Amino acid sequence: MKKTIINFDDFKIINFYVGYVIIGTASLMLIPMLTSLIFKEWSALLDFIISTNIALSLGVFLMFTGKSKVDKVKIQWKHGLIIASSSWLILTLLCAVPYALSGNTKSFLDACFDVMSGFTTTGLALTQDLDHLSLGLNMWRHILTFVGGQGMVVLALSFMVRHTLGAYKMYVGEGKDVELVPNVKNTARIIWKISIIYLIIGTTMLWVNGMFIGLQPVSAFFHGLFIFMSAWSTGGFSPMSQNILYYHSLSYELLTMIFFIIGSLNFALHYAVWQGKKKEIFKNIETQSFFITALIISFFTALKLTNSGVYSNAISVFRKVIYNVLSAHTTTGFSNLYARQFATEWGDFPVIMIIIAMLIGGSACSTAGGFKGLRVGVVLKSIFAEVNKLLNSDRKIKVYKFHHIKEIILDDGIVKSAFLIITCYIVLFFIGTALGTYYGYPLLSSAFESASITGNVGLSIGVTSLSMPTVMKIYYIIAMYLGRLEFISVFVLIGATFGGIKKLWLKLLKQSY
Amino acid sequence: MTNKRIIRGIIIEIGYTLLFLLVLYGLNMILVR
Repeated sequence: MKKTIINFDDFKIINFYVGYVIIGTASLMLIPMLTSLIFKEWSALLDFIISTNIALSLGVFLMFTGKSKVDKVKIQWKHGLIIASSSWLILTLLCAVPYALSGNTKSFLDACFDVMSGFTTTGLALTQDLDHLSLGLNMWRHILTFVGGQGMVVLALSFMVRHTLGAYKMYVGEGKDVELVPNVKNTARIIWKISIIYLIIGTTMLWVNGMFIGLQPVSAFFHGLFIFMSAWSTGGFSPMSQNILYYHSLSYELLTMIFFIIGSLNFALHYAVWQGKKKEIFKNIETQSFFITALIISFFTALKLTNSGVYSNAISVFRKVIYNVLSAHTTTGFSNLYARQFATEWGDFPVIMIIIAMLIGGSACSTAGGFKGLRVGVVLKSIFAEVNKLLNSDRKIKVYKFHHIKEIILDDGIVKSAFLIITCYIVLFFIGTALGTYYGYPLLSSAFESASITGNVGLSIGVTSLSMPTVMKIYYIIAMYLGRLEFISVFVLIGATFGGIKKLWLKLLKQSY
Repeated sequence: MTNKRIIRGIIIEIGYTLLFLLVLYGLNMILVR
């Protein structure tokens, strides 16, 4: 008998866990609900009550349909990957409901764009009148980006008390592949512990700084909380439409820079440093790769902009050039420039540098996007190893290694997987660029926005707007989703869906004859 | 992870980032001279 790609039992087990992840994330709506209640935003409160009911009902229904098989069917790789990728899709639809009900988005598609942008820590927004959003909705936007950075599956796994056997397969499906401790549930808890500790420290620092630069205490607290959640998740959302430019403050810029750089580091690296392995931060291939690429890109961008006379003193170069380069490199997307300034003031060369920075991105198993420093490091090291092999005699066999938490042998499997993912990112980037030019946007602007979307960055050159063609909005949603989940789990979902459709089609054909 | 190690870890991470930013600022000073 021919083995099918996915059968009914598979479907049930996937339903159960997707329902579980939905309930985990939907429960978070209680936080904006409470915020709206405290600040007497009755309309927003009602939006959240309706949305929570819809999400929880669907979650409970899905769990109920799969309950009978949960202890009988063993979770396989395909299950784990499909659970992660499909729960991200369903959650995007469910979490967009409060946006759509608030009336701040023009259509449900725009609401989905914003939610996907939040989940994938991109930071581009189509929500209208950002400066006057309700506090509840602002809280929801930033919670989405904070949770998306860590991962919804990671959130669900940290509360999991039973059925943890196949949890690792779901965890990998979300684009994370490093187990900090042998148990994946504890790994998820450590990821949350690191984030929460930094959340407390970061919010306090930004709160105090906010009051210092003239914000009211309550306002400074919420600005601090929102900006920290965004910075740590390398997200790029901000409560104000002018983004970081709104604050006009060097100290605010400096603090956000520190937090988004730390946020773009690998969780395994945080764990190692917190365990006392101090030298890891200098020895790790990702920090070395980030240091070198950020230094080179910053140098050439600053050189061009100082030579062309755009910035004339070190402080303004640091505040404008270095800030935006690092924001792009860590895939954060915070900006203290107006979007069009990149095109009109900076010119072609700095924009190309920013595109390269956005595509390289931060660290693997972090909140950042892009190719990831680990893969760039592995690829550069493999090129170096290959050239070295050719230069040396055939009889000499040398094993090449790189340092990432431990010494790892640079074998063909690691290099192949790094090249595969980088190729997928480049293809996604070129399709996005081509699509932009098809709709009449200039080449450089299309490439900039496409790199921003592919690398989950969030910097904009002005392409992303309400008037953007619907096809581009849909493509951008897909590209953000693919870039964040690092392709494989989405490909498995597509494969399984097409396998299912083919099976159904053949069955219908058989019946019709 | 003991509390002492966590605090030390956070200080190291913030210190590393500040050092990195200082290097970049130094670079700017050289460039604009």
